[in-house]
Formats: sequence, structure tokens, C-alpha cells
Amino acid sequence: MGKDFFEISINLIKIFVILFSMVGLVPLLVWAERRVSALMQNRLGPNRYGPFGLLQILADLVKPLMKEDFSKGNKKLLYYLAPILAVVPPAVVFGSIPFSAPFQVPAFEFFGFDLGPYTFYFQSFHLNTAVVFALGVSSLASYSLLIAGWSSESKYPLFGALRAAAQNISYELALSLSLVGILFLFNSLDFLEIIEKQSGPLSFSLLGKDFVFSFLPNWGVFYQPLGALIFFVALIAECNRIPFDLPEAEAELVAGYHTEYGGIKLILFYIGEYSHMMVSSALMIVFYFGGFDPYPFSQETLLNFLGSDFKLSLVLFFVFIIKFFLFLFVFMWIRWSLPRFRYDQLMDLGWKKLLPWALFNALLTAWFIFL
Amino acid sequence: METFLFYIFSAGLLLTAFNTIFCRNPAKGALNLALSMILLAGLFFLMSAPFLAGLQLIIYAGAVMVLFVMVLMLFNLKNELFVFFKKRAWIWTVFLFGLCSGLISLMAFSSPPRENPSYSFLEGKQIALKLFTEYLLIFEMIGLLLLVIAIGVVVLSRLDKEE
Repeated sequence: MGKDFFEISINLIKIFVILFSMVGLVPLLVWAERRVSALMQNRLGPNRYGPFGLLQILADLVKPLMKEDFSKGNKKLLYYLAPILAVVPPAVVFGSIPFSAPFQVPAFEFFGFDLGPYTFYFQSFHLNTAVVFALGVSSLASYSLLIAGWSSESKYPLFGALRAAAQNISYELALSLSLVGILFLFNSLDFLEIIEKQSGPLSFSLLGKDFVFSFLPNWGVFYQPLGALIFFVALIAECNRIPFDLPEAEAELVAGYHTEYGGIKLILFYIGEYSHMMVSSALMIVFYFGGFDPYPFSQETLLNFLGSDFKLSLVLFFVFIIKFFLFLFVFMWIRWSLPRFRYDQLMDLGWKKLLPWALFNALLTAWFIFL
Repeated sequence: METFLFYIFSAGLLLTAFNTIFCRNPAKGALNLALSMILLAGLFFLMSAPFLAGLQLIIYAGAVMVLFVMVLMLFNLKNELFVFFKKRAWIWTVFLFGLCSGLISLMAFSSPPRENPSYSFLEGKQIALKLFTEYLLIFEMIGLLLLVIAIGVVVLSRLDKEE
């Protein structure tokens, strides 16, 4: 009883901590987005309240919370369900991402119970087929947009929702196909295993010869530059961010699928969008940038230097977080540098460019592995 | 815990499948069908076939049903509904219901109860091996059928325009 109870409670605490840190990061990201956009456009951004204008977050949160809770249309259940559904898929996927290497807790005694040994994973749950799981769950995100647009019973939200669904389906193909190369290479569906195989210097064997580049890390992006590019573009499209934010193009559709939403319901949509962005940057790191691999050091030297598993995991966690925020910055950078696509350009890019190139990439990788 | 989850998922699956058929609003019916697909993926998870569950989520719930829901939301299906629910239509409904229940009862009562498939069968590699060796012909035929359907739809929509 004692051991099971201990593991279950640890897992529950982990789930809550990861979920709430994800939700808690959103206002910070909104603030960062405003500061970055100000930086890009040579403005100041929010800088009045608190250090660096950080207290602006609180003001921005209180305002929608105090708003009147209004609703529209006859489909009340679906109307209220849509904003909640927007948060669920990214939250579930975020739980399956490993933030650091797992460490062993040796057996110990706690209030008379014999507990452990126990392997602590830096993720809510550890799955053997995490890649398929993550792709599957994140593909459900378009339902929330569809339901929101439809249950609002208004023209522009419906058009926004239809655009969103069409866009998500088209880019999902390229997204999954560009990953095939990585799956061929690392021969695993487990995030932790994929990260493990990316540690050390860049080394591979081709046509019977061994190549070692000691100055480069063994990251997926050096094997799959094309796949990484396609994956990144498809991820931005899945997040519905500029230059792919056609579903909420304000010049044409007022605010797209969330036109008829206000107050806390609108905030839930924002949480969904920003957590999608977080999931995207985490996936990008896991597949193509070595996860928590602490380049230019190797994990063994760090372990010798620090002396214990636990400290190593903490350091690796910070490495992951640094990469994570770098990628979030890249997302914001792109948003404030590129204009929006036209709708036919978007569809052409998805079906006529990304999809064939992703297929070509998968075939090329398969051929090289066959060699 | 597993049995509890199994009953939750199965009850939800039956309820949503029932709703799919009896919902007057086609879009709501499609949403129910999507939910039943997701619950089915949950059942696959419980049978320790996470790969199959993921495929179910990606292909059926994530792509096919999104298209269905989208199309049903986009079009006004009042005419079709009217035709479906007009007088005398209940005769056909009863006829089709009888046919289906007869088929299901044949399947249910005649064959011996199925055993749970062994867990190793459900790994990705085994699925691929089965698909590309034993069931290759059927697999390719279904692919061809889908292609024919796609071409047929394009041709039909073009015909409408020319008239």
C-alpha cells in the first residue's frame, strides 16, 4: 500500500505542477510577446507598472475576469465547451514531454513506510509511443475551433473556423511526414530514447565509413535540415500564428472563430494558443535540437563534475528551459517579422510545396538508411 | 481501475454511437461520432495497444471526422433532412433496422466468442508486417477504391457546373 500510494501521489503532484506551470507561463509569454514586438518595431512596450512592466500582467488578467459573462447563440453547451477544449490537447501533450533526464531515488523510510526505489521522470507520464500519442492528441485541437465557430451562430466565426480546420488538416500531413525521417534515424517512438540518441558529438557511418565531427553535437537538425524546416513551418501553421493566422485575420473576419467570445472565455483561447506554442517549441527541441543535451559538454563530464544523478537532472532541466525560451523567442520573432499569407498561397504552400518535400525527405532518409 | 475505465469508455462509446444515429442535427451527430472515435482510442489504450490508439486519434478523430464535421457545418442540409423524415420513410427505416439487427445477431450468436488478441500483435511492426504481407491485396484494393471515389467526386462536381 505504502509504495503504490507514494508513487501515485508523486505522479499526481507532478501532473498538477506541470499543468499549472504551463498555464502560469501564458501571461508571462503575453508580456514577452508585447516586449518583443516593441523591440522589433522600435517602441518601448509595457514598462510602467513594476519592474520591466511585469505587473501589467496582473492588470491584463483582472480586466477580463471582471467582465460580464455574456453568451451568444442557442447551442449553449457547445459554446461554453469550446474554450475549454482549446486548452485540453496542448496540456495533455505538454505532460508527455521530458524536461530532463530521469534520476533514481534510492529506497528510504518515511514515517514508518518503506518507500522507493523509484525512478523520477521529469514529465507527467512516460509513454513508449509518445510520438504517435503527441501527434494524435494535438490533431484534436481543431475541434475546439470548429465548435467555437459553429456554436457562435454568426457568419465570420464560421468562416474562421472552416479556415482553421482546413489549414490544420493540410499542415498536419506535412507535420507527420517530416517526422518520418527522424523516426527512421532514431528508430524509436519514445521521447527519452530519441533524446538519448542525440547526445555526444556528431558521428555516423555511411557506405562503410565512419564519420566523426567532434565540434558539432549529434542533433537531429544536422541529419534532417529539410525535415526540421518543414516541421517548423508546419508547427507555426498548427499554432495559427502569423504568418498563418488566417482563421483570425482581423482585416477580413473581425476576429475569426473567437469573435463572439469575451472575458475569461477569450482568455482560455489565448491560453490554448500560447500553450500550443510552448508544446511546439518543446517538440522542436526534442526532435531536432537534442532535447536536454548540454552541448558543448557531454552528460558524463557533467555527471563527474556534479557528482550525483539529481544535480545532473537539475542542470539538464535548466539547459532544456534555456533552449525552450530561445525557441519561444524565435516564434515571436517570426510573428513580428512576416506579413500574413493570402489563403490560396497558404494552401499552395501546404499541399504543393511542404507535402512533396516532406515525402521526398522521408524517401531520401529511407534510401540512406538502406545504404 | 482498468475495469472501471473500460466500463466508462464503453458506456460513453455506446451513448455517443446511439446519439450519432438519433441526433436530428447532422453536425451534432458528426461531433458525437468524433467523440465515439476518441473513446474507441481510449479502449485501444486499455488493451495496451498505444500505437493503434494513436493511429485512431490521428487518422479518424484528427483528420477524417474533422472534415466530416466541417462539411456538415458548412452546408445547409434542411432539404436532405426533409426527404429523410417525410411520410412513408419510416417503412425504409424499419426495413434497414431489421436488416442490420439480423446481421448483427447472426454475427453475435453464431460465431464462438472471440479471444483477446495477444498483445504482441498490436505493436507497430507487427501491424505493418500483417498489412504488407498477408492483407496486401485487400489493402491495395481499398486504396484503389478510395482513389476511384475521389475521382468520381471531382467528375460529379464538374458535371454540375457545366450544366
